[in-house]
Amino acid sequence: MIFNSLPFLVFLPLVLGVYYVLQKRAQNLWLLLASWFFYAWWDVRFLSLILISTGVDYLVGKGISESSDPRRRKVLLGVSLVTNLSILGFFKYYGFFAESLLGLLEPFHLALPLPALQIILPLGISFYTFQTMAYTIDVYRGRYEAVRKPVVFALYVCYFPQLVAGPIERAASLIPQLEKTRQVDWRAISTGLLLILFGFFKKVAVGDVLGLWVDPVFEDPSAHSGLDLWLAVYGFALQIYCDFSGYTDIARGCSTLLGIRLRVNFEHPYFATSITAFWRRWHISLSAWLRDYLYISLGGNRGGAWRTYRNLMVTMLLGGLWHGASWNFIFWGGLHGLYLAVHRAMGHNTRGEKQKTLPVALVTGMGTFHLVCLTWIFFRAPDFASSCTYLVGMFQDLSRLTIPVFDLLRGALPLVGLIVLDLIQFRNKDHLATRGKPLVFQAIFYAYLLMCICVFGVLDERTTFIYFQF
Amino acid sequence: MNEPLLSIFSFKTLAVRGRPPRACVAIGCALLLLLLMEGIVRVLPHSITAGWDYWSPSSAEKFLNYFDRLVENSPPELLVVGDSAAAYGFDPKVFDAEMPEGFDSFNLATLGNFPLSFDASIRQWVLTLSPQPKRVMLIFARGAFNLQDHVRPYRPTEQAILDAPIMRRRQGEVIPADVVHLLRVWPARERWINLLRGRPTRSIEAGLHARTGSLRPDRLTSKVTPRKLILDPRRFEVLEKTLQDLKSMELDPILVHAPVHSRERKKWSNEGVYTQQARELCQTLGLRFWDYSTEDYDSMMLDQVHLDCDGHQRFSQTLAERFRSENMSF
Repeated sequence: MIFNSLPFLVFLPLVLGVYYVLQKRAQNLWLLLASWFFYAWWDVRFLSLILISTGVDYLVGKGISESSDPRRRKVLLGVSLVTNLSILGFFKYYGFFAESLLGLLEPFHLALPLPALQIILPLGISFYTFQTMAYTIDVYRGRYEAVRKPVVFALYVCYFPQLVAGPIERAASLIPQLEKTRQVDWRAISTGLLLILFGFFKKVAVGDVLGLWVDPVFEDPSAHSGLDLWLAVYGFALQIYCDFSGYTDIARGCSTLLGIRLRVNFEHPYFATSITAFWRRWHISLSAWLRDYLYISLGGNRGGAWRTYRNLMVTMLLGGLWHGASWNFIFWGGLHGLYLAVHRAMGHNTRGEKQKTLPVALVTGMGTFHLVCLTWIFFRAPDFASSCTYLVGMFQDLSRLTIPVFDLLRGALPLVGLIVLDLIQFRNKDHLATRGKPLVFQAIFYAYLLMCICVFGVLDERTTFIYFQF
Repeated sequence: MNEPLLSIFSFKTLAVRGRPPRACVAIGCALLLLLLMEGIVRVLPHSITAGWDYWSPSSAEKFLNYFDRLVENSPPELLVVGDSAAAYGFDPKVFDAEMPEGFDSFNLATLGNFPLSFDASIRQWVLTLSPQPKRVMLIFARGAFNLQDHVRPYRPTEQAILDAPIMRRRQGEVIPADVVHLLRVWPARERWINLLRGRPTRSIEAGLHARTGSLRPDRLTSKVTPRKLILDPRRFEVLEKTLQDLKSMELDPILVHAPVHSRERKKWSNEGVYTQQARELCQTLGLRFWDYSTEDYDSMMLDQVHLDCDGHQRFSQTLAERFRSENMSF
């Protein structure tokens, strides 16, 4: 089930209606059943993978917590990691590695008996696998006590608002909320409704509308002029931001209506004035995960400059691979790793961000945005060759525009609303800063957002969220 | 008051007491404003939002105009259906002028309506409506029957038409725009613009897609590598079924192969395969097949398969002459 679909618009009020009249324990059970139903709506067979992941990590967590034998604890941690990574590896990376391996061996006339399988990627597998792995590692490191109640743990793994595209929640943040009694007051209702409104606006009225003309350009860059290609890169940068942060906003809004707070996943990333700052603002839950469980495990910045650069590179390469099994994603991750290493080598960090004057912030902000846009070409293009064609094409035939003007206009009008919304949020450092504005302004602004959804939005259930594929 | 221990119910989660905060009031006001806008759209003239649900505004205009004719109980004597070759190629005004006074033809051909979508939009729908025209003429370019999507992708266009709101509704699917009229505003944008400019909201009266311009020189100089034309049996089956249906309805259908540029003929190594099969089909059914694909229209083409303004005039006159010479009665 996806958020921008009619079934979800029936599902959510139904879940909320029953949830509000249940007591805590029954609420958790109800949410668990609803979450399984939410996932099974897409394909009931893949629910078994979540159940395996849940069962293994629940038992492993309990086992680690009850054991004082370091060897046994290590073995149990290994069981969890191997199980989760095997599921992820098979469903997400088998085809890619089998194909790459056969390609490598081809010049030597060696053929491996690897079966060619058409594997369907289970929805949200990267998200819930990372979430359960984080839990087990935290329990192993002694940062978190293992959960005793199976219902609570199962709900932590498959809590429907953030199940398929995050934010990737930590046990320490989500589980205590699932264990305590929740209350939903007027403030929570207004927060939830506003976040859902902002999320739908970003997704339906901006992201999907941009996709109408951005997608065809990326599918066939050679058929478009250089001007089209430039516009499509900027368009995609906004499309992916609106699509993903829109999903997060809807997820956080739905969860707030249930009395459970989810973490912020985006902090106006395109206002970042350095690449390091960008990664502290973009997909925060994933970058924090990679930092805490990969970068720091590799040694972080403790082994001298070169080791730090290597660790940054490895972390970002694996971050790229997390997005999908393709050389494009690896290259995307590698470019970001290189940017981060160079930024670090230049002696910069995010602490200087606030001290920049406006002109300096504008120049560095634009520079950062363009560096990120360059990586989006590799992220979005269907293959590496298309990415190269795209890059070359950007500097040819710059005087002709073939994208229909009406398509550009359809995206431009909601974009005004997005800019106003982002500026208000950014200046006030609060995602709900519009609440502080006068009633008349709020009413007109929210009506404008709703009107953009209805008039310009792409209300088609077949448009999913970009991050669902990861 | 103590709740029973075994009760699973509790009413403590929702703690909404006192006045709602300003943001909630603002959301309520915004929804009211939206309802007001929805109301405004609903009371607007029908001509603005009608047709919002077709696959293109021009298709909408044609269909609405044709349906108006049926409502008025004045169906055309000759109904032309087909893909863009017919939409750009047949001019009803020129044709009617060449025919006896008072003759009336209507061009219902729409862009991209290749056989798989033609089956749903024309064969299973329009041609079943009454009152019916006296005769139906089908005009296609051979490319419409091509199986190889990598040569020219026809399938996405057909799918887009089949996915259009009007087609989904015909299959019983309820779509959001059925409920919320605001969703119709953007698809009807060309009508809004026409209204604001003081122009008629429907610009295609008799159904011709007149296009000015000429063939781009680079399209004449680029190298042509002949490919084998493979006819799609599913698409050809639609043609066969349509002709059979029309014959059984005694609408005396005529299948016409539209003119193409000589370069288009060089594009296929087995150039005459469609003509041959179409001719055989019509012979079997005892129907007319008129082939204009080898006639010289090179100087009157907009591109390799579409006629320009001069081309559609000449082609329409040629068809009218043929009607007269064969003494076809209505």
